[in-house]
Amino acid sequence: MSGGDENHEDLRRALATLAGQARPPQFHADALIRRVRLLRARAVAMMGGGVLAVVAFVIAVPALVSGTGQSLDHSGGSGRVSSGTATAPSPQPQVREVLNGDGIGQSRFGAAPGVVERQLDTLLGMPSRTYYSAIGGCGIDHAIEWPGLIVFFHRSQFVGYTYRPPQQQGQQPVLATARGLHVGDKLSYGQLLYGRAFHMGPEQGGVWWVTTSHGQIDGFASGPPQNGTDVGPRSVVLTIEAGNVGCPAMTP
Amino acid sequence: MATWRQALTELAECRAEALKRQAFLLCGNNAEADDLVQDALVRAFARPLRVPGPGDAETYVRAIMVHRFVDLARRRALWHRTVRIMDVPEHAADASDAVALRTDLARALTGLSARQRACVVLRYYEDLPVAQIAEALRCSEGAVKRYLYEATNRLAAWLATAERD
Repeated sequence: MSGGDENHEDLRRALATLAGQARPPQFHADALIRRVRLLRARAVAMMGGGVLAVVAFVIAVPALVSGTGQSLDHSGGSGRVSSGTATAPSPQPQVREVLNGDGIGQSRFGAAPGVVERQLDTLLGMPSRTYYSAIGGCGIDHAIEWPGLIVFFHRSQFVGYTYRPPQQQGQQPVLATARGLHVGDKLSYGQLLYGRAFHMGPEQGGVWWVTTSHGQIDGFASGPPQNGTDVGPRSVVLTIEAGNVGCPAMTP
Repeated sequence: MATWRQALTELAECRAEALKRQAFLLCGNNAEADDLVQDALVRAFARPLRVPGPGDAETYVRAIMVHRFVDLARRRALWHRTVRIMDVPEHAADASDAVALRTDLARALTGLSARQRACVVLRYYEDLPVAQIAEALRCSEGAVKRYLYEATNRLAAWLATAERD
């Protein structure tokens, strides 16, 4: 078996001749770069997801182990494991992604005040509210305020809301948009969540707005000035609003 | 990021024809050769953690081409009972010597397996030593020698004709 050692000059020449019959390549570097960039972005995203999963696992396992230990301790040596709800009170308030362009959770614009009141009481878990009546400006005639949240009504119809969580949050749920934009998030995060639908502008000291399939959500923004404007990707969300919130108009 | 882009652009613009020629010998037709070269170039640079250096990028791409060719041939063989690696037109338009030579050799190469064909191309076209071919195909040197022996035996008729001419 000496096939690897034989010279076969005729075969070499013929292969060279045959290779010369190949037509010039029919592709461009730009197209390849685009494909590579896309694949690299996917790979990086997958690696990031893997790292996050590992981090979450590393954080979750000790928490679960310590949680189990606490529950066993509370059982007083009886051997009965207490239920999960009694063992791990969450230090973080719940996040409810319910702020939409057409209402809050199940409360849609156009709903009656009583319905909205009941639904928001359930959602926020706190009946403490303040009533404002006879506002009479810019399409608003009365409003109801929960700590951090004001909903506006016109002719007994839910027409808008504005949300800014109070400083003393306590265990009160934190509200966020359906895709997870919170008050305090950077506008760059909003761009990440909503893409090209997310906008920002310098009006009234800085505003942001996003058009969703359920209507427009907007709000004030503030933060470090960038490029001579009052708002930029590093600015933060100050309020989350939708619908009619009275005067002045939020968006340009 | 600029490094991989630069290396990819350089390969695609300056070395594409050389890569295409090798791919053409492996695949046997222009369309598949184009696909093979593009696929190898994209795969070579798509992994963020494993980017070939400027010196070994072409070697890396060529190795991917060979692997990809053997892999595709194996997959095709699984799905199709009969694999026609070469797509040679029955009636060549040009009757020149080059075309006749191409057709004969192309037909002869059609009878080889993917690994045999890869070995022939790497040994007699790329002029790689057996050890490097074994490394490229991830097999032993003995296996490469066996592939070459079997391939040249199968090409014996063509070689005899070429010698007579």
